[in-house]
Amino acid sequence: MNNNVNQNNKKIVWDFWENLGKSELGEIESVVENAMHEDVIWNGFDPVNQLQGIESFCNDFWKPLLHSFPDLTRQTHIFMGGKSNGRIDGDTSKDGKMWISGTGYFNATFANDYLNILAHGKKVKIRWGDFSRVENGKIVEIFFLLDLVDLMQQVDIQVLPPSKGKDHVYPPPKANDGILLAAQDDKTSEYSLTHIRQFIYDGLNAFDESDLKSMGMADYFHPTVKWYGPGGIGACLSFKEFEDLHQKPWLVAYPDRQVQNLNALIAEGNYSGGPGWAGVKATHTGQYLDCPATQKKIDFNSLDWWKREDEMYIENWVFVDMIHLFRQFGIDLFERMKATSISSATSTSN
Amino acid sequence: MNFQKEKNIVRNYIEAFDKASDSDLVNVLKKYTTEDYHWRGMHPFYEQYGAKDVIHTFWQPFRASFSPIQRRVDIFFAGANDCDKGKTTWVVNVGNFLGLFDHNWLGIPATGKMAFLRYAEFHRVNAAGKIAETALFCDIISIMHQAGYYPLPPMTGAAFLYPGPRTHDGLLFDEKAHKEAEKTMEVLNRMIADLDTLNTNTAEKCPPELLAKTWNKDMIWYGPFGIGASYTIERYQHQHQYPFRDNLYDKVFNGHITRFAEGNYCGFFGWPNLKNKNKGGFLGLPASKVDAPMRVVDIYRREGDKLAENWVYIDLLHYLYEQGLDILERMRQINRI
Repeated sequence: MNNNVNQNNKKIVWDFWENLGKSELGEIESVVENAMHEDVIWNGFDPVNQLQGIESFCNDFWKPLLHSFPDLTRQTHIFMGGKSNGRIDGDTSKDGKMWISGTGYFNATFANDYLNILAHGKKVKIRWGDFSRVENGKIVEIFFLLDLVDLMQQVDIQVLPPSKGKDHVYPPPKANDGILLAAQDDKTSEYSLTHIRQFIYDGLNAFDESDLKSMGMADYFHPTVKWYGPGGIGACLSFKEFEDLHQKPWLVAYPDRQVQNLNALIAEGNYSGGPGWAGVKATHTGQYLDCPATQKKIDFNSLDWWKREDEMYIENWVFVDMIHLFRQFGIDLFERMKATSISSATSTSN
Repeated sequence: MNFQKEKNIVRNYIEAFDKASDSDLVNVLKKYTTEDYHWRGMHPFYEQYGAKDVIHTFWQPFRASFSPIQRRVDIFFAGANDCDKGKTTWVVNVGNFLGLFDHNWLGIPATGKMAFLRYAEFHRVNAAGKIAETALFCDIISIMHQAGYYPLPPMTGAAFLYPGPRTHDGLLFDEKAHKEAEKTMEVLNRMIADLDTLNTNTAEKCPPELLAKTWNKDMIWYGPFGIGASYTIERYQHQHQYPFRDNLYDKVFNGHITRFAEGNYCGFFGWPNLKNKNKGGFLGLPASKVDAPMRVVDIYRREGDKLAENWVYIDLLHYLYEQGLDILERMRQINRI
């Protein structure tokens, strides 16, 4: 039953993305109306943040994006769906909704400034990640991120210090098997969901604030795991790199961080994923990147996808809204960006 | 009043020191300095006493990473210290150390290419003709920039290899008429007094006319990496003065260790010159209640009755460290050095 709904939902979202990509400017509203509930809630990246309703989705997100990137085409690396079980207590009566998710690149020419990021007229690859909840054949709720720090880096704007990991590494799954248009084996999908729940709630949340080993990460992350982190952190290409370049500095900055109830957590085949708006909470008690500890309570907005191979994760695609994160420190990365543009020097009056 | 004796002592010292072999460094430094020689360096070198510790802390590792080193002096002058009514005499040399960056330094990965370390070195020469005190400021962040590991948010100014004085007359090896130094000191003190007056009314935006009283319209401010350089009064205000004035508060000025002039050059350093708190925004930092110290060097060139060029060094690594940000540790982590 779930599988039938899931197949149907996948078709709705996949066709929507296809049709949206093909539509002329004047056709956008009707394509969106066809796929989305009129009161859809779109939870996006800072500074666009939350949008409500189809009109706002079109006018405040999609059309401005197309204006800046007119020849935008969607390249999808992972496409999957499933029934969510993302609460710590595993109570699916309070969750249990059906979701469809994808991630990949928007390939486009950066023709016009976007959110004051100066266009350079050349090709860019913008990382996107999407979790859409489908109810009665319509998309009713979305969690969506673009990696704007990675985009800024592509036009040579460094709002963050050099990444510890490797920049601009965001490939499709090694096995190129991430587009799950066909129905997957139910048992495999169920096992993947149980497995990812153990990893998150029994593993990650068990950190004792001193020893990385307390999380038992080595039981879940393969020695050669590829962790494709966001702009500002970069990719870590082995378990050791992941610990040294990302997890240690992360836990120095946020030792009390805890994964919360997620907005969704789904699995299909060997893939799993979930969005978390304030999906992790922490106190900023240690230096992070170029920012000293602020002692502030921090919410992280993030998206994750995992690829399981038997009992181990071999790949993990990760978005963290770094602009939202730094804003909570009291730092506006868009203000930092202005230092690189002549307009900021000349537009401020004495 | 002239400072030819002190200048010659420092020139001789520089010549002997720069060509000394590694094993001779301590002996050469000992020969020119007092027994209780006091050396001030930047984070992470700090204050050292006696030739041995100075060589061990700064010069040996620096020379090991950048040999062979060429000292390229752009400005050289001396003067009686205005801060102690002229009791002490100081000699300063300003420019770049050029070297081949062949070995990692302070966690910054070597490039195998030439690199320029901006520096300003002050020496106090005592009556016995010995160097009793030194302050060596240098721009470590500029080396990170040259190596491709710039660690801070985008600079408001421009970052490049800064030139010496436009007039190419910065090496005051010969005696200068004392009245020129007096004129220079008068403009400098007037500029500082103007800003002090403004500081008592922090709500007020500094009007460009106020700066124009003591600065050339086409002034150049060669700031430390982290901030960068600015040209013209208007652009200097946007790129440094306003971010500095608007985003830092509770500024308390401590004065200088030395301040002196010769001919149309003058300069000073403090330890620290001032303390301030960050409202959020300066150098991309979040707001902080830390009273952070700023150790600063300013070197000026006067043209007529105005200041025309200004070379500036700030111990930003120390300033950031005091606010809980350890740039060097991060550099070591990134580069796994």
